[in-house]
Amino acid sequence: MGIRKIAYDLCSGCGTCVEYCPLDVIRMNEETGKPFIMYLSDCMACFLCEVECPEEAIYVSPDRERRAVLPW
Amino acid sequence: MANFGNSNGEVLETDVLIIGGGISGSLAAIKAREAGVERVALVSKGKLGKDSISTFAAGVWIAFFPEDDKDSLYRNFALSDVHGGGLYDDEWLTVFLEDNYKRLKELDQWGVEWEKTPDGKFRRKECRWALKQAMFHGPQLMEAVSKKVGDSEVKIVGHTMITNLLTEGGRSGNRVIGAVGFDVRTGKERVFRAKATVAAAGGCGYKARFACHKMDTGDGVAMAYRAGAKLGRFDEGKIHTTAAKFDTHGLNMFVGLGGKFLNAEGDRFMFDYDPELKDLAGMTTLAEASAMEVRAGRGPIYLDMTQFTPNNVKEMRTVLPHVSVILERSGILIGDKIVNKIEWAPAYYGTIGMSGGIMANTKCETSLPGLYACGDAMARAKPTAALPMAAVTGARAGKFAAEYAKKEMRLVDMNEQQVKEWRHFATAPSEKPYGIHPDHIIIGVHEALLPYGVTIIAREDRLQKALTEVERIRDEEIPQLFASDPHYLRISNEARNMVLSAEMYLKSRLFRKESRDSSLREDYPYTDNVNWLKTIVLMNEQDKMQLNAEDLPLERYKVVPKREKYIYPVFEIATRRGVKWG
Repeated sequence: MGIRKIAYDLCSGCGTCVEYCPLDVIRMNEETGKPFIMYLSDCMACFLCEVECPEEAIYVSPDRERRAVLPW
Repeated sequence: MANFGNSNGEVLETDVLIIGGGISGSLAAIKAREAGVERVALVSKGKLGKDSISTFAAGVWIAFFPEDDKDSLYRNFALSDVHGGGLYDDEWLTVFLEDNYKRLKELDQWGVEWEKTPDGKFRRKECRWALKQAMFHGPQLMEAVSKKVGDSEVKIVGHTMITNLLTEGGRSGNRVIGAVGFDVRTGKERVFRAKATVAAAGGCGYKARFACHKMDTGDGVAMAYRAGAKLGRFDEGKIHTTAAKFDTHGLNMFVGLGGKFLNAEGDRFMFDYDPELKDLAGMTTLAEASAMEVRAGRGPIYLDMTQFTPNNVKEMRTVLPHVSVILERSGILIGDKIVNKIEWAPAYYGTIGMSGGIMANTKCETSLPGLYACGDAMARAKPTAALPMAAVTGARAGKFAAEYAKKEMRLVDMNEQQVKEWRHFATAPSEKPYGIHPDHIIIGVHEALLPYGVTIIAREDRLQKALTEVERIRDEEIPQLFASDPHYLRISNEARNMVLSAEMYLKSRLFRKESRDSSLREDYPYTDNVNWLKTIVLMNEQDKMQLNAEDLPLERYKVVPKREKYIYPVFEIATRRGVKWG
């Protein structure tokens, strides 16, 4: 269901995912210096954060986050 | 560095303002700088190069090379049913066939990686519609293009949503002199003054099913409509297809490698619906055929790629790395083998690709002086291909906007009242203590618009019912939109723009009383080249959407479809296959 996990033991806090997310789903926690998932319902499972993460710390599921209306 | 008058303040002054950072906006920016304009600013809703559908382009470029027979391509495009059956734009088609290769070559020079033969030539292979595609390495396209934008000394303003255009004297229908919007993270207002403005903010995919297009909410079309520009071609909307349970693109590649469609009975129904192209048929035919099969009780529909060889899978992994991960996690792909067929269903694609938008001539000039349009924000007739068309129109919009800006010596003063009015318009959802969450509106639009009886095989009563619901959302729910922070202010403005696009689409579909590619009406099953070789245009006049049908300028066309009425082929084939409609 969209972005599912940021592995904090791997994450370096570089902020690439925060900068790249086309729908601004991820934000930086200024206190911990690590990103967190803030607007999950807007995630479109594009995988950009996972693909671009230099530490391979992010896991995305292809299942849709917002309820999908099918044509039938 | 290019010199900006007031780049630290709230008002940014520029010669050419580009709204949108996909391939069309990026090319517009590069070309405006090449044309010798000093100050070019590009506003993107996210990070430049990462926030558009071009970022996720599936590695396919429908390519025409100098050695191709342009006359035969022209005729094929102009007359074929799957390309809109005659509703083409002869000037744009000519330009597209000419410029397509120029843009491809230029992208190659800028470092875009193409699939090439050992002797360094572009490799092309057959794809849907029996056209030929060149292939690039998906995500790398926009990396190379946005680097070129940076190297061109373009002022980039990221994470900013433009909501409205500014016009001379603050009046609708006047010259466009800039734009207003806000930072989607801080909510801070941003005002832009420009000599020329390029709307490159994409189409509207309604945040509906389909991969990687949920940032495209018709923002460019909405701002142009509110400024009084002429728009059109919304009835010519497009229908894509994707997996039922997850969003993926890559169909060109899937069927290019031999993917086949099956109905629930295991029948390869596309052999009937398009005997010539079969599984390579246009996506509209595929969507319409799938809907007919479902209506006959032969759904669901599957895409079967289980016969792919390890080499096929290897090629897919190279060209579509994102898609391969999606298939793996959905249990479709394991190692070098496709292990399961995929349930497949049409996905209404809104105005992305080839559909409605701001009406523009081949200089990308719109009905408003100072406003240029390109990419999915521009109205595009069907016989083109989305990605190269976005590149072709973007390059032209940048060039001609630059020429206009060079002739205009001074920036026109903003109308303070208009700035104030648009500020209130954009921020209203954050100025109340509670209200409706934008998700509610998004799903409401989906429920009205997405049933196949509305978008795929429509009828007057169902279109009218959908429109009534969209108008109810517009009048009752939009005023109650609530945004708890700048992010939801963005989503709220996107939801409002989607509602406007839905209204444009449904009214245009109701207006056209015939059946034509992706605009099927079971109450009017004939393609009517006697009465409907027309473009449906619309404008905002005194806060009312006024529609009109304009005759195509057939007198200048090189090829004119026969002025006759004939039953749309899918209806006839469906009848033969025992499907009831009417």
